Amino acid sequence: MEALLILLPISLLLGGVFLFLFIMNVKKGDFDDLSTPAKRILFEEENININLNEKQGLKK
Amino acid sequence: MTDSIEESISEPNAKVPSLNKGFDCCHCGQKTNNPLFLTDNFDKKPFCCSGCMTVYEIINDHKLEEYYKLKDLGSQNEAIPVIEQKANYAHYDEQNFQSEYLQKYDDYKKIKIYLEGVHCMACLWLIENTPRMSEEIISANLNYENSLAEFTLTPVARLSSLGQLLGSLGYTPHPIKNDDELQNLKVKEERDYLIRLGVAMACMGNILLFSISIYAGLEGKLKDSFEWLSFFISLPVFLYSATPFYKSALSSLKQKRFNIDLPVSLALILGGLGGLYTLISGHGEAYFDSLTSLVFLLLLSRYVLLKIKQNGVSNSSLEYLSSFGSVKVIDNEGKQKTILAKYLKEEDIVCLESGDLIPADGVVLEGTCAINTSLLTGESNPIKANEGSSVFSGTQVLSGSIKIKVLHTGEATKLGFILSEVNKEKSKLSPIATLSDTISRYFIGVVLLLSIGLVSYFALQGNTSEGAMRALTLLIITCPCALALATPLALASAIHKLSSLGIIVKSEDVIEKIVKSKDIYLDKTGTLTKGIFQVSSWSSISNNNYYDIVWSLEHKAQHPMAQSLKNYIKSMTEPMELPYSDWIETPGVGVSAKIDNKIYKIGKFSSSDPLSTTIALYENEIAVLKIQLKDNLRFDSIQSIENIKKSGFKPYLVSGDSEKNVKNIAKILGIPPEHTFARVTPKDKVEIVKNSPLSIMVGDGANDAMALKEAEVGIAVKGSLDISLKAADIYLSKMGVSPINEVINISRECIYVIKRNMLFSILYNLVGATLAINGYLNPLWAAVLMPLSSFTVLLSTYFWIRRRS
Repeated sequence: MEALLILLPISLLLGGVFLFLFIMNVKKGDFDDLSTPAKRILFEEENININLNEKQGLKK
Repeated sequence: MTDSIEESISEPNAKVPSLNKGFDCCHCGQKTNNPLFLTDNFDKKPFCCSGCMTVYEIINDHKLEEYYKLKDLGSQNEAIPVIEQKANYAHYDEQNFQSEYLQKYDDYKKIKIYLEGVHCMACLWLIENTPRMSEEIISANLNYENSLAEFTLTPVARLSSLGQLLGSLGYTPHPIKNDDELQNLKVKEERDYLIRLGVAMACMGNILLFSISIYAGLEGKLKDSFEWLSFFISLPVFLYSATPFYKSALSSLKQKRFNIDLPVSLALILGGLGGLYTLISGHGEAYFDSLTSLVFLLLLSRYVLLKIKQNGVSNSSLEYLSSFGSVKVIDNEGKQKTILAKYLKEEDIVCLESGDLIPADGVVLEGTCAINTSLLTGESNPIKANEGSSVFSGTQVLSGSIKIKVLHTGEATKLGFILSEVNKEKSKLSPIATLSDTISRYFIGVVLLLSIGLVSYFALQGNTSEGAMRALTLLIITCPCALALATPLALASAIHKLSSLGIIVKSEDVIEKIVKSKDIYLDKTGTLTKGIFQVSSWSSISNNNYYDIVWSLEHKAQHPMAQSLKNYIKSMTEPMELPYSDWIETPGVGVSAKIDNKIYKIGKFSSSDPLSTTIALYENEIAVLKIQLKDNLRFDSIQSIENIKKSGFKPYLVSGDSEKNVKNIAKILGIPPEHTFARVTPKDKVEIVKNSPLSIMVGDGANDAMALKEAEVGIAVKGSLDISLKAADIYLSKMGVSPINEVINISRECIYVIKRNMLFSILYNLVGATLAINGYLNPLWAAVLMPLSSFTVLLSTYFWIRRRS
């Protein structure tokens, strides 16, 4: 039973970390558009490169 | 470019069904009888219109042929032939436009554009590959769900060339203001919802882990600490995730009405405080697991609903549709410049050419022209205007070019008056109270009374905690979310389905109204007919068909009849241009030229019957060829009216056109003459619609706008004016009136599904409530069973969707 004393806080902490990450990502807008990325992934390799370049361009 | 102007006026897919040699358009895949062929470089590929051909060329020029491979992969909607826009995007470069629509940063600028016409995965791919077509575009990002594209441009990029590019690809760009607060608010609301949902789920999951051991028989100190832990973990749910319920319950109390959130809030408060009391006092059960599950499931079902609605209703996109044309004005120094039509002032001088919409009421200063007033008055024959004639905003110049002096702008114009009428609140009786609303309200009242009764009954017997538990169980199990879910979910799916058929519905209550309606009022010109003249007969006095001569004469001509003639000739033969001289076009009269030393003239033929226009080719003043042109019915009109009648509706014809024209069309359509109204003004239309409660109005022009607004349900067809779009509840984005049948069918099925869903959830709740009052259930079971009913409703709706598609 003593194991619980260690495992419980760890599980709660992990849960908390993931919840925090989830909230951060929602705020960043990763969940705003759920259908387009699913389609984008079907395009050929070279186009993915274009999309990557875009992102870099945006972050400037 | 002028060629394509004409192309956009005449319908590309509506050709004379003469020969049975169907071709598939290489771009949009639509069947066409008289294709245009692209010869250079490509091996004679057929296209249905020049719009499609242009797009094909652009795509090939940029080595983006993959588009066509993708197209077959994931097309949701049917492809639509590209109608090339005769648009001028020069006003995009104006200062005041840029400050309104452009976001500027140090080394790039961004603009958001709603793209009309995005319909498949290939569109997504094409839009996102625009950086390969233009140096000025750094990146393009399209949200496929709502057709919103965001373009990042270089600082030197010109917006007009972006508009040009998008237009030439076949999309109509509608830029979005950079400080669109509504849009931002929507995004924020949705993100908020998702976070609340996430928090509720995380907390619920952790609490359930503790509960399992408690239900498995955990005893003693560990049980106590687990329950305290559950309490602390449930706090974010009570205090953060569930706040929307409290807020809505409070506001419903203020309005002295019951809504669904009231019992939910009550259950949460009762359960939360009760749970804390049992924790402190040390006996009894705490139900944090049930309560957090309740919150999570309720939030989840609402989030799903929100998402379905968003997918379907392009509410917002309809707002973007209203466009703002640009006009050419002559400034004080006599120079021409392009400005936005909304910045026009009185006394401005505007140059208009064939195809232009007249932007303001005014008087002609110079030139003669033929004007199509059908959008404003419903009159199908063109009207001649010359120096001194008054012209009205919303009408269209068919041929010739004129300069007008602006007399009235904005609200002072005839069109503006209609527009302001349309923007007024509907002068309607009380809206149809939805059935489910009424039921839920009574239902909630009964449940609240019952739970108070339960608590006081057991309190009198000295067993308050038993009473509180049963009341909590009752509140949870009867949570009428299945009832509340049933209607919006079915409505949302109906709207979603309609939108996948190219039918945009502005608000859900339309569905219920359609089912209750009995009468459909249809406009004639532009709605049931094409509003464009087409060749119906071609009779020559000799064996000679004169195709080449007519072709050569009309080759450069501007008016739409010329286009009809050219289309017809192209469908019959491969025309050859003959050498000619002395070519003159006189607007409203005709064209003439000298070929082979003979003077040929095309002009009005003296005897003309009102249904059609007959023109003749004169060879040295002798008529040698008679051509009859008719405003044809749309290909699907007759069938659609038939179907409308079959589904139990009474079709009526209302038109501003002459008695004879209207009666004749009605006869063809099978509408009894007593159901027709001819020569009606826009105001008459309103009266007609007003006098028939629960009526549906179908129309396209400005003359229909007020009636569209006044009718219980207004349907605007493809090609409608902005203002009709604003007034209507439904917009058919595909050609023809046959989508009306789809609207009727889907609405009826939808109401059927709603009734089925409600019946089920009422039965379920009756059984659940009986069990709860008699103490056969505890709150945990209630929390498990409650979503089951919602789930069944979801399934029942889901199967309906599946069956339809």
